[in-house]
Amino acid sequence: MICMNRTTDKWVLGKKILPFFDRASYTGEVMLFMGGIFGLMLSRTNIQAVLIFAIFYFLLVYRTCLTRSLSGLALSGLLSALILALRFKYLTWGDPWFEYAMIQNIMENGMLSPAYYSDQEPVLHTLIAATSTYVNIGAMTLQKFIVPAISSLSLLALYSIAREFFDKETAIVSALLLSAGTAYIHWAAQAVTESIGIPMALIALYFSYRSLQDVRHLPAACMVITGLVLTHHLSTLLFIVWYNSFALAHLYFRSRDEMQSLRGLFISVFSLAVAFGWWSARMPDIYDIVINSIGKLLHTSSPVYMILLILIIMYSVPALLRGQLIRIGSRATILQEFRTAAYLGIILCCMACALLALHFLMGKSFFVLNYPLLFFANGLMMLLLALFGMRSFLYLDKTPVLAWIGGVALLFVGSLLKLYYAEDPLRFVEFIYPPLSIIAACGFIFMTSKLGSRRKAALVALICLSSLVVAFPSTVFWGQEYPPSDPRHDVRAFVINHPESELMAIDLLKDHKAKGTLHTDRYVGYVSLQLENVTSDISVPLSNNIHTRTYGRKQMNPDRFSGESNFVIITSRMMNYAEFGEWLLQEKSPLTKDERADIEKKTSLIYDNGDAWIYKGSGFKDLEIKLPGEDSS
Amino acid sequence: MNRPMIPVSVPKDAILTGMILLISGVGVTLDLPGIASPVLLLLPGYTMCSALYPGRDDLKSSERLIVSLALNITLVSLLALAVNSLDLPLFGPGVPLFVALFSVTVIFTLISVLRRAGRIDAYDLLLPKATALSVLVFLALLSISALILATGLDQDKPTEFYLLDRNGTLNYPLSLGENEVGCVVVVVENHGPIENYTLVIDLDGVLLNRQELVLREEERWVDEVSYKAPYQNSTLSFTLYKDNEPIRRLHLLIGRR
Repeated sequence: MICMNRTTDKWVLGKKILPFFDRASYTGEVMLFMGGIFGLMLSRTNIQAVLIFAIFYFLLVYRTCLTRSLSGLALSGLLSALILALRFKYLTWGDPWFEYAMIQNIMENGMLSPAYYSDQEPVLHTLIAATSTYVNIGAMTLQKFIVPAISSLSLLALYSIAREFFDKETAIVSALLLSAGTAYIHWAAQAVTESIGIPMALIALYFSYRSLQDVRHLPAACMVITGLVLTHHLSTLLFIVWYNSFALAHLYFRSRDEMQSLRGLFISVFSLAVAFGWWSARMPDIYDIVINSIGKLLHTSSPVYMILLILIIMYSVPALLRGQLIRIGSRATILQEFRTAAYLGIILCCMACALLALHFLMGKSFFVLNYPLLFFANGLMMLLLALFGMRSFLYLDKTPVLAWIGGVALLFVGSLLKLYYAEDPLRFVEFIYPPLSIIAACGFIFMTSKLGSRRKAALVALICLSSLVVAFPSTVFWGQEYPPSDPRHDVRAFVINHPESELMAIDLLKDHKAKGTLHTDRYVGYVSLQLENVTSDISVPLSNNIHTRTYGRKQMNPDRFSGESNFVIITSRMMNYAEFGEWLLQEKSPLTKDERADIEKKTSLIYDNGDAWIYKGSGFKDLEIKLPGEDSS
Repeated sequence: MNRPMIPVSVPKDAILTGMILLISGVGVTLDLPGIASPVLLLLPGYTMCSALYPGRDDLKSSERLIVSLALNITLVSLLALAVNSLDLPLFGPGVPLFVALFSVTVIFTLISVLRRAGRIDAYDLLLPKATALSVLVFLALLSISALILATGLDQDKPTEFYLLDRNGTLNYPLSLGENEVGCVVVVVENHGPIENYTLVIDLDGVLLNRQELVLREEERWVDEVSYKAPYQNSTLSFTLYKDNEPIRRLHLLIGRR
């Protein structure tokens, strides 16, 4: 069974018996993937089983990097994207519960008009609602697994883009670095619209770029762009920025074909037309914000026409002045003599921007953020690798990737400086990660050029594994929350998982057809969105796309109740951490004992499961409820 | 003169698509779980991709995969919007959305077959070769995973203690006339192993009832409690004990009209 064959490999271990060792066989990758899944599932009852996942994930990434296998890449990405779905029984955080409520809405009404369906980003909701209805599997289960699975397509798309500029090794490392990138995995592992928006944007970018070179790809590109518009507005906007930066750099510095400019202009105008058309028809709030921001930036009262004019000019120049551009390009190669100076200048510029970003992410700016220091490890590593990787980009033929990251980085910095309205600047970071991964991969390849392939692969696997661990709150891989003195302390650990007790309280209201208003904190409020006849403090602004903060903890005060039926849900988590309308703009504080005692005193306690309590009170003051012991005659 | 007949070979993926469509149609008609998933998650996009890219070298396998799934996602939404634009609900009688997806898949399959007909370099699906052992190992791992999921890996649920009104809703009679009698239903649900509980009910500190309960796993105990409002304001309290320790508490604030 075991034979030594020194003429080929050192050991030939009966490849038919142990397919893992046959690098040409994908069976080993599938087995490693299944092993990782197995470990994550077991970890629900025994957190030590996370070690099983870690071992299999490490081996899978190691093997993928060594063999440069695309199937291994797809499975690695899928495994990391399914972490939350397998670790926890229910949807995590808050946003996925909003998507779940929209899915249930569609399943019930079957209509997508604004009167029935307020969100108007139908891709995720329709896909899951249709699948659940026709396949007879619960919508939450499908949402938890299908959406992250779709998000893992980002890696194959990024690989394809990177492959246009670099070799297989760099492309594989880019995709693997992205798969464990903190900002990326946070969205990929959730089951929200961004989880589909990011891969759709990457696929649209790749096929749009291919369309420039070959018109056969144009129909597919246009279809994917249409799908992207229907998926997520921010992903669409960032795609438009990505594409125009990328395409114009390609046309100006790489292309020699005038027809490419026309195709480029067509795609640009098409994407804007579909986006603006959909937003103006179905999402007027978003349309107004985008148009007003563009108008403010360009100092014009006709932003749409101005944008079109700018695009026509920008795309016409490479077509009309092709000869002049080639002459300038040939002279510009002289500038490459000054590569070192340009490199140092770019490093200084990047460091300044990185400091600004870090200042924001550490909560020193207008957002109140409390990320642990470990959380920044992946981002700092990516920046360091990218600084080394930048040296590979000081050539004209690599400018599209630089332009790609430059466009979105400018938007991010502009939002930090409040040059225009951007509700959440953090949302730009996940769109910086794909091009950053390519640049970081170049830096990694450069820094490890003296290492053998196995050591390189092991290093990549270690980076990916440790990045995953620090990207998620401590409850995911450590199974518990930690005190503030511990470096693993992370307030997000309180709210990533919705315990069974919380869902049981919501189920009571659902099963017994509660009607009225629910007052609770933000995260329990998200879970309550599925309740039909109960309006929570968070449901009104979410359902109506209201972006101002219209509620706060004061609405938990029974003296402020209105209407006959008011419910309050308190969980034990809220006594340690609670979030109300302050979102990211103010410091959060847990529910105090006095606040709870006040609720206890003025309302009836109708449900207790030891970890979640439901109170019921009335806003009507005709009942002068007094405590026992007070004057009760 | 007889022209030579050029046989039109139907690509393997078109045959497979046809079979899956038929099975899915039966699955939806008979409400069988899981059967129709390819029609929702892959086939429309895959057939569109095959129609757009009939040549083997038009796209690499990974590119076909990503564009097929992206096109599928887009098609599902576009068809849903189209169905709605005809004033049809998506999931009404006649399963309009499924019919739309089914039809579009058939159309794209036909287009892809016609576009690939006669091409030497026509694309066709390459089914992976798997050894018997690897299939066995894969199936074993899949079975173990399914078993783990089916037997339930979740943590134990806590004991629930709550109140309902007589109609099973949450609208309690909290405002009573002088001689009026209110009624509330007390519920204890045990989700763990067999337990002994003690339920104590008092009104403004005066004991009304004390009862011992023994509940097996997943057993639900229900009882009606009647009360009056002796004072302007009263508190009806319910305490659940286990091993002489209070573990759950409820109370109703009752007022007199």
